[in-house]
Amino acid sequence: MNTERRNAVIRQIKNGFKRNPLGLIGLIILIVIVLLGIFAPFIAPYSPIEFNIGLRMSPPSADHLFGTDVFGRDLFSRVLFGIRISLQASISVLLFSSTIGIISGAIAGYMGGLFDELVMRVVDIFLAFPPLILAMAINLALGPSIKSAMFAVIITWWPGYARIIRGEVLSAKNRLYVHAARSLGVNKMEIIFRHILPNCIRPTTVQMTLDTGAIVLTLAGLSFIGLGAKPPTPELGLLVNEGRQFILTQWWLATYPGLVICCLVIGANLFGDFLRDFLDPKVRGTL
Amino acid sequence: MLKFIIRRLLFMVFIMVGISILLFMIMYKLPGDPARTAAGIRAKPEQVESVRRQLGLDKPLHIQYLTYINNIFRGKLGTSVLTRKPVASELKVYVPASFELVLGAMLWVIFFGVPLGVFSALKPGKLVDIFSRFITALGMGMPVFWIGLIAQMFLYGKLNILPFGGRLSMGLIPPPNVTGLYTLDAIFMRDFNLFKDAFVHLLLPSFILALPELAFISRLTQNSMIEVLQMDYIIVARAKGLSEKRVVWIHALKNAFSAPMTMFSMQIGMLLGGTILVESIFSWGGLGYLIFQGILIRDFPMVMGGTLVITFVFMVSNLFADILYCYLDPRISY
Amino acid sequence: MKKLLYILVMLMLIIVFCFVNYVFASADQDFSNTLVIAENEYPSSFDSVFADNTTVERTMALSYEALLRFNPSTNELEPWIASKWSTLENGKVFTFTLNQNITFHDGTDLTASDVKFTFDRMREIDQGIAYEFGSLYRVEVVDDYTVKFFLSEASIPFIKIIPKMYIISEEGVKANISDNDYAMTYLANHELGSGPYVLTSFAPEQQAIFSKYDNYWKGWEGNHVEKVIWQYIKESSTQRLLLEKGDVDIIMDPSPDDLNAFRDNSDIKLAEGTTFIEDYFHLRTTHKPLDDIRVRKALALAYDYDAHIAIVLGGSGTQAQGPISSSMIFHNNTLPITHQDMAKAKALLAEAGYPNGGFTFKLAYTGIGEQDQRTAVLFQSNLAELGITVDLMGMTWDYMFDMEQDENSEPDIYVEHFYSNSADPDSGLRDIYHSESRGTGSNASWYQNPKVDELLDSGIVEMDLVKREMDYKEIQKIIAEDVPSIFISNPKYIIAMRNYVNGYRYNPVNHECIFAYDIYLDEKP
Repeated sequence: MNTERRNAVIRQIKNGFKRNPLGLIGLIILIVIVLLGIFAPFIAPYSPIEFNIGLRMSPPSADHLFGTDVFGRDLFSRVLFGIRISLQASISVLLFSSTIGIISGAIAGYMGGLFDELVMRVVDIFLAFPPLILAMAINLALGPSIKSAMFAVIITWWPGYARIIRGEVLSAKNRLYVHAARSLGVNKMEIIFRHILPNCIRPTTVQMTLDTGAIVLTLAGLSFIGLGAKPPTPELGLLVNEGRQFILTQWWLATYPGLVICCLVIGANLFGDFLRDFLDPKVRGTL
Repeated sequence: MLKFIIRRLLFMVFIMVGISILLFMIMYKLPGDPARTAAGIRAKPEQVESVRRQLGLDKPLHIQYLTYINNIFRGKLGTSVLTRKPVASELKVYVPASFELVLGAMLWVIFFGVPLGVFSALKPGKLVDIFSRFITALGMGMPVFWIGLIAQMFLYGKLNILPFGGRLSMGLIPPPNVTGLYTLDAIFMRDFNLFKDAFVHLLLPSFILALPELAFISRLTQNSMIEVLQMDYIIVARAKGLSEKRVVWIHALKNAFSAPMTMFSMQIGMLLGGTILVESIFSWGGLGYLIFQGILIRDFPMVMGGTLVITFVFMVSNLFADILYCYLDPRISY
Repeated sequence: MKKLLYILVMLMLIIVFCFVNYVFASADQDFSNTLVIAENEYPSSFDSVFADNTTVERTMALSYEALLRFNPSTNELEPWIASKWSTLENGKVFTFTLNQNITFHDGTDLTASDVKFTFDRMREIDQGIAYEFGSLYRVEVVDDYTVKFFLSEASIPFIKIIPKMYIISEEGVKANISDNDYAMTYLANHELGSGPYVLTSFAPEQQAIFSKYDNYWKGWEGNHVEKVIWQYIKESSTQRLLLEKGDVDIIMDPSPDDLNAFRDNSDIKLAEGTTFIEDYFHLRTTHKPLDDIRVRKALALAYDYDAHIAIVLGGSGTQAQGPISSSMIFHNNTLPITHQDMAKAKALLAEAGYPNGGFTFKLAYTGIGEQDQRTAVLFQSNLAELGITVDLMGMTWDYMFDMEQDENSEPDIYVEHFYSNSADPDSGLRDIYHSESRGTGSNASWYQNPKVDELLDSGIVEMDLVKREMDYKEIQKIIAEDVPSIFISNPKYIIAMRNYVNGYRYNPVNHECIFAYDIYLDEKP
């Protein structure tokens, strides 16, 4: 894009942040946490699975920023790797579920007819199914592990995207540019993927950012009740579970991982809010 | 309108059937043997087999499913594999408990979430707005299981101003079962001490359950209000000289209400399905934990019964929301 | 708008009012002479047939009684419902004479007919504790207060399982049968026993209240609590909070990490009971490379037993010595106790052809997030030092049991425990190490040794106590040398209670039961 456009966008971003300072805070939090996660292997002072039985259950100190756990493992290192794992898992879930959702929603929306009905009925069934129950059941059926937790969450999440995209496709289907493309003889698939979908990016992106937090929470929740990551994996929800019984005395064990989950999700939500406003053409125009 | 409702009801039936099939298939894949659980950990193989026959678990899959559906039509939701009690009687005890939590949560949302949203809409950019955005992000970001534990430790452990959990204080006998909700039943009994006790026990757990919803609805209300306040008819109302209070709370809110209202009604079903974490932390004997247990030990009738109840409530509340939407917004009619 | 405000204000007022009331209302209930106990699981039934389930048995100990009771101080059986008993025909026939003044809570008298009925019912239902009475095939009523038990095969230790047969009211059951269910539905919320306390209220997931049975045959002279309230609280941290505040008198599930804090707290005392329990890693001896005894020995040398006792048991328990608990009679205390020795373990592995490990084990354990998970994680870390990878499989117990029964199942190692239902070494050794037990689930190691089988089979009918002792000691020695399992520890059973609770005594046969009748309280603050 040319310089003028670029400058305009930069100005819009600046104004956007000025109007919504929380959005900037959210972005900063996100960036910090993501960096911590990416560089975990370099930053972590100790190995997350190394025992140090002599020092077990020690409170936060200079040596161990977040204290140590039941086996003497350094909690700070565990949390760092936990961030990494949570991010990896959540982003994978996000990508897979949105991809499946988008493809099925788009095809269903465009094809219409019986196919559409069928896909949407399936979507409705999944949407009506209490999500936590579905996730628990699937997870258990596959044997609890972080992979099955991811699979379970993907299955509960894709219908949401399918529905959104189908809605967008339906409304786009009747627009002028689609009619034009059709009359030019462009085939169905191309129309869907090259013309309609790019216009659906906006709502999807926003949804995805907002969903990041929810997915992190869901995965952590599943690990918390024992249907997620297996020990000794330092997944954040699992860490809170491990610290659960000690909340009165060795409070650091459950508090820090929980706090990190909190920050991550809040950051994602604040930024997601900002992004939604920013990408809204009506609001954008006023920036 | 009537046609609409009938169509929706048929749709509900379709969904419930779909869910039951899906759940049945998944539970079949679950590891573990329900016959063994029922027979007991030390049962000899012959005993396990006899229990298996007793519970009809030796028949092929589709027969089991059809038998189950058949029983539903005859009004029997089956017998729990674990407790040997009819599922319906278990549900009668546990569903109201979860319901009480959800109702409590709803009250929090309506009486705190909505006003917060309205106030922050009135003063955008000011402290209230930032405060509400922050609370919103906090509420939607905090892991329920974490904040619940911390709140319990603080409010019960350190400050001792709230009970640790449970539905009643120790030694108190629950009121006779009318609705199953202790607070309401205590009122029916005119036992106000019992009501007070049940009410206080309800406060924290329902608040924790409500947190994410509170945040969400407050946000939604705020957005909705902002949109509505910019509309032409509001300008007209103000020009006519109506007091600001009337404009905001009666005219604007009524229209802004529809969006959060619909979302909210949908959330009721969600809440019901997600009570397990709160129930486990606050020792609140409800449906969530029941279903969780059931999944772990492959107690299909229990899980099925509980899930159907939740789904039913969810769909009914959706239907209700749509009807309400229609009532609130005269432009829409079915 | 005004209306909304009014509602809001009213709501706030209600909240504040209830609050204040709750905070300042001191116990307007009379809690003196009431024992409040917190535990984490409520019983699925009050049916005496399910006495094998510790959660059910806990409440049973309050409302039901058996013919005899095990006395942990004397290590002998003592009369209870039965005032005396005798054995005939070398352990094939047992005669019991009953006390005559016992009544059930429903008012009916306890007679020999109730004993016979209890047995017949148990036999027909064929679940729960029935499996322990396999050799009992007939119970005969001789007269109103005399009853005879006939065994299909002589069994010296049989008498020791009698404390688990809780007598149920025949008329009570018959009055509450629906749909041919042996009154099991009724018994899900009621009890039909003769014990000192009656179940007066039960709210599943919340609490159960037991009140004094005025016509209890032993009478109420002396010091006894008059009411028992079981409060169901899942979180051990919450239980701890309640105990420290004095809101409950006893907690059943203290976490091992809280024990030290309790030891330091002057208002709380710990009751540690010596149990018959043993913790194991069962090694599936049919899986490579566990079929090589050197590998098994190396694994036994790799485990950090001291860390286990400190971390998993909270310091409460001792390392195991051989395949049965050190407190069991006929325990062989000449057996060697293994200590962690990584160098020796490495050497043994090298000898077996695996100098750097290089293989993977699947380790199965139950209770995701609980004690056994710690054991599993600890072992995983120990074995990592030998170059062995451990893949953890956390699961529910019924699933694990299925795998233990299946010859071709995946797991190589199982974290297991054995709770003995009687004060005799036979059940532990037979259930876990007899070749016929392979496929029943308890013999998870798939162990078989004909010499052990032979000694077990002769030991069960051996009348000569001296010879019996020698035989059982020999059995333990053989098993210890074969290392089909790693013998980890004998945990103590611990509960924590306030200082004013007196009279509690742990009974290893009625594991985890609280005989409230024996308990009395000093003045409660």
